[in-house]
Amino acid sequence: MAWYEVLALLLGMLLVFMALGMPVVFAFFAANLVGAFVFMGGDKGVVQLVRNAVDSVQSFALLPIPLFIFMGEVMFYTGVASRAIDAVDKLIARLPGRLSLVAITGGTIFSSLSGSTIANTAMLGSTLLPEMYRRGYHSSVSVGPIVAVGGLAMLIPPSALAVLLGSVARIPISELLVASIIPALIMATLFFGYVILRCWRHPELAPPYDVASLSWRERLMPFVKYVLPLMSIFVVVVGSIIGGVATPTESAALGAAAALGAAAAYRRLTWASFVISVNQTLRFTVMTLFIICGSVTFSQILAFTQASNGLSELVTGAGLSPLMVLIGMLGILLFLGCFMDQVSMMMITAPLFMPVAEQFGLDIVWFGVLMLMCLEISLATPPFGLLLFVAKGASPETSMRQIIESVTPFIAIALGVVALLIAVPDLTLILPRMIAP
Amino acid sequence: MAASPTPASPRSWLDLLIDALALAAAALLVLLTALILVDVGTRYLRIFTLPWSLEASEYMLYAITFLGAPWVLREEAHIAIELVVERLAPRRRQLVGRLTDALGAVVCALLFYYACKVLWRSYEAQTMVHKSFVFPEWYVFVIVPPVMLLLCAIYLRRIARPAGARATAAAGDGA
Repeated sequence: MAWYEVLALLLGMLLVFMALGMPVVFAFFAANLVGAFVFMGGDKGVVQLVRNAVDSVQSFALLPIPLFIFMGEVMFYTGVASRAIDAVDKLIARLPGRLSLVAITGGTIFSSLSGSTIANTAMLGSTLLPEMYRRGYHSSVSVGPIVAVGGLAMLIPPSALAVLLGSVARIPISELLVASIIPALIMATLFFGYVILRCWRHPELAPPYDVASLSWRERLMPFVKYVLPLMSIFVVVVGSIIGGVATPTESAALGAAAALGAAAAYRRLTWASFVISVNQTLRFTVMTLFIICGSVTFSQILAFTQASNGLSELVTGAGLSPLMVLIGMLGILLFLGCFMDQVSMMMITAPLFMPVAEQFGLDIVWFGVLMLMCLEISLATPPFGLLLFVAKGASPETSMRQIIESVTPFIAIALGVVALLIAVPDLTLILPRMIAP
Repeated sequence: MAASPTPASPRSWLDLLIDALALAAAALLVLLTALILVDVGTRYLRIFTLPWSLEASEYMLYAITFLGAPWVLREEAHIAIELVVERLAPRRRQLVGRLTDALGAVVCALLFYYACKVLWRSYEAQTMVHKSFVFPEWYVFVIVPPVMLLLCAIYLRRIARPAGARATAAAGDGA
């Protein structure tokens, strides 16, 4: 069988099983069972599949995933994160679209403490959306920024999905984690500027209201008390990676301990909040890692049947420029993101894209960040974007159409940032270059 | 993402077993976090080192994933893409649901069979793992067959469930 027939058969089976609503992990297992049996020597191939599934998650590189998720869940369920949002709320006084700006600032801060985009969006939605609607905010400046900034947790370390991408695509995880910081901050700044501009030109979108008159001390103290100590956790996590003092796993462990310590120091750590944090961490960890078990043989079959190489050579021989190839790969990711989840997208595309990226001499850290950006944008692209559903859950009275319309300008901004990063790779690569050897 | 807890009631022995495994996975998760922390702390403070901690953490991560998998399936929290299915008429959706459940059961049954094969071959070959810990390799595989059997049982129970009791699950990324 020619490599492209193998590729079409495997991808076809996978997509059909997924489209039927089968959990993606079992869709991968099903396609791989057939693929391993047919292309890897019958029984021998399937035995290898089982061995691969067992070996795949016995990996030191994956250890930060549960720890990063745990950090976010602790912050969320102990209420420490919402206190930080309250503190930001007091700090931002009379700017147009005030609550939207609180959402963007708070979401960016929480992203630096959490590896979970869902926890981020749910926290912002439950904390700020009711107040936004009470104040007459239009969905375009309420749901829109919350969904947009919710996804930043995927870019700003600690990011569980960045660890996963680094692991499956063999990109140095430390470099990938820190490389995403500047792009994420650029994006948050542009979201911030867009909201101010939009609300300044159309004040009816976010009707101004009287904010309690507070002294500078009253405004600053909650920030100093509830936000700055949390920011120090981010500094420890990222600083220890950049300084070469800690591996991502070690920094994640420090972060998890610091999150628990902060919750305890604020007297918010209860047995109930600890249990639910562990419960949620377990749920997300298992569903993410079990997909790796199910899908790891996929890349092996592609390599074994020369499908990865065949595709790579086909693209290389097509006379395309590296830029065109890059845009093509990112375009495929954005397309897949309309109806597929992030983990499946990574597991399908990484084994196909990484050889192509290397053939064309693309910096793999830079390419990894661009992939992460597209995966992050996919969280908000209709019809399947996960965060659209999280926002819908937090605000049932808002129609899906309104949510999608409100998110669209933010997706456009994020795509603009992707273009900027393609044009100026140094924006991505400056921090990884600083990592001490 | 599916996050609707829909355990069967009254709780059967199957549910109790799934809960027990999930509890073990949760305990391992806490232990794993504590182990990495103690390892990092004691190493940097030069108190003592735990040279086996890396290998132990890897085994724990593996055990967490497999022990927690039946619980996540029962809770219908495994990521699924419902985009096509949710546009179908209710009767067709039921039918497709039963079809994918049956397919899931077959996949898990096959994996059970091959996991038993891997376990038996490793036991017969008396292959040893020689890293920080030295032990027979089949210890590692012993967890897989019962988990696959449990996953298969959960799928079979779903198929046997009366029409209309199927929870609607959306999809998601989990992180």
